[in-house]
Amino acid sequence: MDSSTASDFVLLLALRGATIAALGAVAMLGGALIVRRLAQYRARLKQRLAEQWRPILTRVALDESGAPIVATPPRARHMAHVMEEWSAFQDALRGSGTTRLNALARQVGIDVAARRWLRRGNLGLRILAIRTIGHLRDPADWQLLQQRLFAPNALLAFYAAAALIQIDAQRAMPGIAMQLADREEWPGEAIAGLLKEAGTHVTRDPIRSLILSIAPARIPRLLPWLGRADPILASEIATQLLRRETRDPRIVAAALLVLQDPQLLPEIRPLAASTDPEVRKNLAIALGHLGDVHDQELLVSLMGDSLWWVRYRAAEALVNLRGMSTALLDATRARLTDRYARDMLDHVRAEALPA
Amino acid sequence: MIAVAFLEGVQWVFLTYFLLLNVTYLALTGIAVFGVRRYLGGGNAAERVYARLEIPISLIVPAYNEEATIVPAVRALLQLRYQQFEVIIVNDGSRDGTLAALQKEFALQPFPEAYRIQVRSKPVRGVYRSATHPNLRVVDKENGGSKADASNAGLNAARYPLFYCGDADCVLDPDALRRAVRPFLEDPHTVACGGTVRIINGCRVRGGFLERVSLPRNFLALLQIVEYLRAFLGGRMGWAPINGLLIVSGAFGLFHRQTVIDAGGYRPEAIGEDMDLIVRLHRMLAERRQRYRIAFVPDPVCWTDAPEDLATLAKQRKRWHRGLADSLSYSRKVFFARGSGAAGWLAAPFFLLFELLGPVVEVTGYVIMVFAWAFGLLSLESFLAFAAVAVGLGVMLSASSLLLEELSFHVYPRASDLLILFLMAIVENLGYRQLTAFWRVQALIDWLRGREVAWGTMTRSRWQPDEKQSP
Repeated sequence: MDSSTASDFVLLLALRGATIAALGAVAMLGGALIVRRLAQYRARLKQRLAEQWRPILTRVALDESGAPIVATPPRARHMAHVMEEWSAFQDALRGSGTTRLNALARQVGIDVAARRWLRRGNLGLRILAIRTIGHLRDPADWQLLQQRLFAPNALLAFYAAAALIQIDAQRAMPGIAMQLADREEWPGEAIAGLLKEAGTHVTRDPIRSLILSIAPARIPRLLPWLGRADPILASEIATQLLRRETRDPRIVAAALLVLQDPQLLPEIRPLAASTDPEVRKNLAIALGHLGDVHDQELLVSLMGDSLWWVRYRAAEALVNLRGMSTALLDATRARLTDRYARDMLDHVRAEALPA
Repeated sequence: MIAVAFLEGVQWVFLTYFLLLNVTYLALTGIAVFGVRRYLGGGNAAERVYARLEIPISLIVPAYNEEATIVPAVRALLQLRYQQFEVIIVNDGSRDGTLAALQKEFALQPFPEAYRIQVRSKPVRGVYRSATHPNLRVVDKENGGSKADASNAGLNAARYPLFYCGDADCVLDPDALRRAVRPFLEDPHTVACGGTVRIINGCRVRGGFLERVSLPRNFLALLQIVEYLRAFLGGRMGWAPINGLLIVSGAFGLFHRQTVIDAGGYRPEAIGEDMDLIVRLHRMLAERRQRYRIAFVPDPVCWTDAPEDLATLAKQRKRWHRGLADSLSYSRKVFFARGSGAAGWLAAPFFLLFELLGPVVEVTGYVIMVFAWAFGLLSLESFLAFAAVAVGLGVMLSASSLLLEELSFHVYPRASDLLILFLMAIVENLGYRQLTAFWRVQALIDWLRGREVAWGTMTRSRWQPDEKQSP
C-alpha cells in the first residue's frame, strides 16, 4: 500500500466512523425519547389500574355478606400491576378478608399468571409470583415453591421459604432448617422473622436437631438469630454447647450471648481468663444480663482488658448490673486505678444518661 | 517525505488508541445497560424485602469551615429513612463557626468518649453528643489538612458494621442508605458500595432535602451533568458488574468498617482519598486472596454542587487528576496482581492508559494535527474527518448515557431537558473537552513535580438562598 492509498484508507475509515457515530447518537436520543414516553405511559397506566382495583379489593376484603364476587379479569399486560396491588392488600390483611381475596384472585386469573411467572419471568416478577402463591396458600403449589427454596438466588429462596411457611409451616420446617445452615447470605434478622412467623411450636424440634448436628463452624452464625426467634430454645442449646467437652471459642462466644440461665454463672465466670477476646467480651455481656453485684469485681477486671470492646461491654454490664446503684458506681470509679477502665466507665455512664 | 511517513505512523497510533478507548467505553456502556436492567429487575418487591434486613450504619461526615451549610445538612442526615444509624460529624479544626453552629442547633454536650485509635488521624480535642438527638455525635479534632484525616477520626468513633462517608455539602436522597445497603445484603462479601452522584445546580433544596429537580441555567454546570451521567451510569455501572470498580466517589460511599480499618483507613497523604482507598482495598484483598465485591448502585443517591466558574472547575479537575495519578502510583502493585481480577487486569491498566495518560495523548494529538495542517502535511478534509469522528463518538457515548438515564431513573422531568442535555453532549466536544484535557495534563505535570494540595473549597450555588425559605 503506498502512502497516499493508506492515507485515503484512514480518511475513509474516519468518515465512515463519524457517520456511524452520528447516526448512533441520533438513534440513542430517539431511543431515550421513546423510553421516556413509554415510562410516562406505564406510570399513568399503573395509576389508572390502582384507582380501578383498590375499591374492588377493599370491597372484597371487607364484605362479609357472602355475596358473589364480580370482577372482570385484567388484560394480560395489566396483570403485574393488579397482582402487585392484590399482594399489597394481602400483606396488610389478616383473617377472613384474605380468603375472599384469594377467591377473587382465582376468579380473575391472578393464580394462573403467578404460576406462569414463577417458571419464567424476571427476578421482580418471580418474587411477586412467590409472594402471591404464598398468600394463595394452595398445597398444590408446594413442589413449585420447594424448588425455589433451593434456588441459587438468595432472595428467591428466602421468599420461597416464607411462602412455604404460609402454606404449611410444619411441613416446611425440615427443608427450611437445611437452608438455614447453608444460606450464609440470609441475614439473621430475616431468619428470626421467618421463624417467628412459623411459630416456636413448629420450629423448636427441627432447629434443635439442626444446631446440634451441623458442623461447629456454622453454629456461631445461627445461634444469635435463634436467640431472637426462640430465646428459650437458644438458651437450652447454649447450655448444652457450653457443657460439651470440646470448647471451640467461637461456639462458646456465641453461646454466651443467648444464655438465659443464671445457674450457669459459676460455670462461665472462669471464662474471664479466656485467651479469646470474643469470649471475654461476650462473657461481659452475659454477666450484664444474668449476674448481680457479686460479679462487680470480675467486670472491673474485664474493664482493664487490652481490647476496647471488652472494656466497653464490661463497663456497660457493670452500669446495668442488677443491684447496682449510682453510689456503688461512684465508689467503684473512685477506686479504679486503671485509666482506661475509668475512661470507659465515664463513657458508658454518659451514654446511659437520658439525652 | 520523512514528515509524511511520520505523520502516517502517528495517524495509525492515534487511530488505534482512539478505537481501543471507544470500544472499551462502548463495552462498558453495554455492561452498564445489562447491569441497570438487572438491578431494576428486582423492583419494588426487592425493596420491601431489604427494608426488613437493614444493617446498622455509622454516617461519617467530615466538615471543614462549613458554618453556612452544616446545620441543614445534619438535619437532613438525621431524617434519612433507615432503621438504625448514627451520625458522626468530624469538625476538622474549622476556623469558622462550624462547631458553634452545631452546638447551638443540636444542644451538644461534652461526651467522655473512650476514643479508640484504630486508624491514624490528628489528635481529637473533644467529643460531643447531642442532647436532642442521641444518635448524633461531633468529633472535634485538630486540622489534619485533608478529608482523609478527618474521615479517619470519624472511623475511630464509628460503632456500626457499615459506615457511610460523604461530604457535608451533599444532599442525600432520603432512601439513599436503603439503596446502598442492598449489595451488602445480597452478597455478604461486599466490602464497599458507591452510588450515582448527580448535580444539584438548578434544583430546589429545602430543609436539606431535594424538593424539585431541574436543569441549571449555568452553561458549565449543564455540561457537567452530561459528564456525570457518562461517568456514573456509563463508566462505574460498567465496571461494577465485573468487580473492576476503582473509585467510589468521596461524595457517597458505603463501606464495611472492619475491612477499611484492616486496610489502614484513609491515607491522609492521599490526594484523592476516595479512589486511593478503593485501589488499596483491591490490593489488600487480592493479596489476602479473599473473595470480595466492590459494588455500585445506579440510583441517584447523592446530589452535589458543580463548579459554575472556570477557575473552580479547573482546580477541581486538576485535583481529581492528581488524585488518580497518586492512587495508581501508590497502589501500583495492584496492576496484574494475582487474584486482583478485573480490577488489576482490566480496570487499572485502562485507568493508566486511557484515564491518566489519555489527556496527554489527546493534547498531543491536537498539537500534531494543528501543526500538520498548518505545514500542509494534513489536508483540511482529513483534519475535519478526524475531528468529526472524535466528536461523533463522544456524542454517541454521551447519548448512550442519556438513554441509560431514561431506561432507569429519568429524573429530569421534561422532554426538553433531554434535548438540552443532548445539545450539551455535542457542545462539550467543541472546547470544553479540550480544556479539561489541558487541565489534566497540567495536573499530571504538577503531580510529577510534587506539588501539594489540601482540602478543596467550593463556591456553592444553592444553600443560602433556598435555606432562607425554610420555616
